[in-house]
Amino acid sequence: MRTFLRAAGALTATAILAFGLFLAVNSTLATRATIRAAFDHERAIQNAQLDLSELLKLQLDEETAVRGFTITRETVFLEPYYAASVQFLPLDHSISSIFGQEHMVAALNALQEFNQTHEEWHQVVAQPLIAHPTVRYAIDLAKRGKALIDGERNDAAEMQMLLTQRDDLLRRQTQDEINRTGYTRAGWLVAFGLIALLFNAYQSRLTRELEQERTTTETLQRAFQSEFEPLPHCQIGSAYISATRHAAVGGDVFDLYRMTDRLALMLIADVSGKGVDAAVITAFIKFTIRGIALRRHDPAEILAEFNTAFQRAVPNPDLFVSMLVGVLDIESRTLTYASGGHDSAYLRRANGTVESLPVTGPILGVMEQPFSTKVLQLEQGDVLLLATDGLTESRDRKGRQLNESGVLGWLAQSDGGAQQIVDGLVSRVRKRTSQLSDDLAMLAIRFGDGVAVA
Amino acid sequence: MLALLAVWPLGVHADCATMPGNQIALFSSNYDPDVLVWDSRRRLLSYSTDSYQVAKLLLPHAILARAGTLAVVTSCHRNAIHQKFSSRSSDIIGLKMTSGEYRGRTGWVVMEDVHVVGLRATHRQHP
Repeated sequence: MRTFLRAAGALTATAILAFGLFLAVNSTLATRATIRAAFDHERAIQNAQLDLSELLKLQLDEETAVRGFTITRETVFLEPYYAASVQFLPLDHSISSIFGQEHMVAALNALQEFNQTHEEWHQVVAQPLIAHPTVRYAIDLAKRGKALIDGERNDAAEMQMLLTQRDDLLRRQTQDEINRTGYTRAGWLVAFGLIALLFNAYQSRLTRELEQERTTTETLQRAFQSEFEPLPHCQIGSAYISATRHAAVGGDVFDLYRMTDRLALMLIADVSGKGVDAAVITAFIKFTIRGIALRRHDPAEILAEFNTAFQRAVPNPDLFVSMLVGVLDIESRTLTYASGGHDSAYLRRANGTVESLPVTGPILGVMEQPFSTKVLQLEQGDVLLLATDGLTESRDRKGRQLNESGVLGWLAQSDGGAQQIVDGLVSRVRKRTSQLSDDLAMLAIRFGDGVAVA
Repeated sequence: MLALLAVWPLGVHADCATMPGNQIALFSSNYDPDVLVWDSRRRLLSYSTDSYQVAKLLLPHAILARAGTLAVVTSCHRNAIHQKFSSRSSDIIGLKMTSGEYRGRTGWVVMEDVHVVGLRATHRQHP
């Protein structure tokens, strides 16, 4: 779970980072395009200003040329006039084009007026004077000329003002865009910083909670776990495999509990269902049976009393338990047991013969019926194997169950210490299938002269 | 007379660039240095602020004084003309020409067409 959270956290952090990066790149590209466009506009405006200045110079050249010609009547003075007239039109078109591109309607109108005035100056003032240089410079013509020149100057001043305004506006817009982008980026930076901080805080909290949960779970698992105490002159082996991957507990339980110096209680049970819910019942079974066994040494009576208690304590009709309870007299090697529907118990004699221990009563939690007791005399080298149906019902890759006959066959081939036998069986089960369909618990006791081994 | 002129600036002309009594020379821009001298302030105002189509109708009311014509300031109206295409304002100067073909004629011009040449010249700069 923690690995998953760590991976999810890293993935989320990467996603946030990638998103932030995408926004930053996108914003940068957009700003670059905007600023480039603004610079293009500014350049166009500056070009128009230069062209207009040039236009006014040409106008001055024309005016000066005509004035010089009028005074001196030397045609050489007219050369700048004709040269300026040729250059005038392209400049005028260039300015007009820029005004059009920049949607400067007022400036276009001013340019149009400028052109009209200029044309009028040509027709009314310049051309008559050039055509009749000997004619006395008429006062009215001079005044018209002066007024026309002033008019052109006014139109040019208007265009200059509009260009300056436009230039200022573009500069302001560009500056605003740069400022806006800066503020936006700063905003994003703060936002992502906050998100990262919140995310980090959230993940820390989650990890802390998960750690607490894990500690709680481990404590509970220790309480639910099957366990055994060493017995004199016995070897003990055990295994517990939960069908639930992430839980170390399940619906199976075994217990080997030394009640007195001479008597030991052994128990194996299988609760319908698996996982944590079933594990809770197994804890109930383990401690309830221990409690009853301290007062009653007859396994049939223990099961009967437990059956009553179980049906009262667990009113769920879908829950039932198969259980074998045995009381072992260590000195006489006598095992007295009662089996409530639990058919996975086997005795392997020292000579290699194997028998299963028959059930002596119904499954617990279904009905209240009496249980009978059986007594077994055990010899040195005998191995008692208590298992749950996870063993007999283990399936191979083709779905075939092992069944009781299979277990009997395996046991017959198994020899050695109690733990070796258990490990061998687990190994065989695992070879058959990679994933158990049910929990599997096994408790093996080999009787002999040796001291019990954990 | 000179003593009287010396105290004159305390009146409504105090902020003007030139004072009544100043000797001035008329000179317009390099584009056309001759100066239009108007017979009334109102027409000068209209010429300066209206379009050429209006201006040319007013021309019979103006005389074209040659650049360099000398004159004496008779009055000054501070910031009387608000130019259309800039934040600048111009003074209107009342004058009496003292040289040239229109010697003795009075009229009105804008401050930009005036250059002070007399002893009472001020050095105030236009905004």
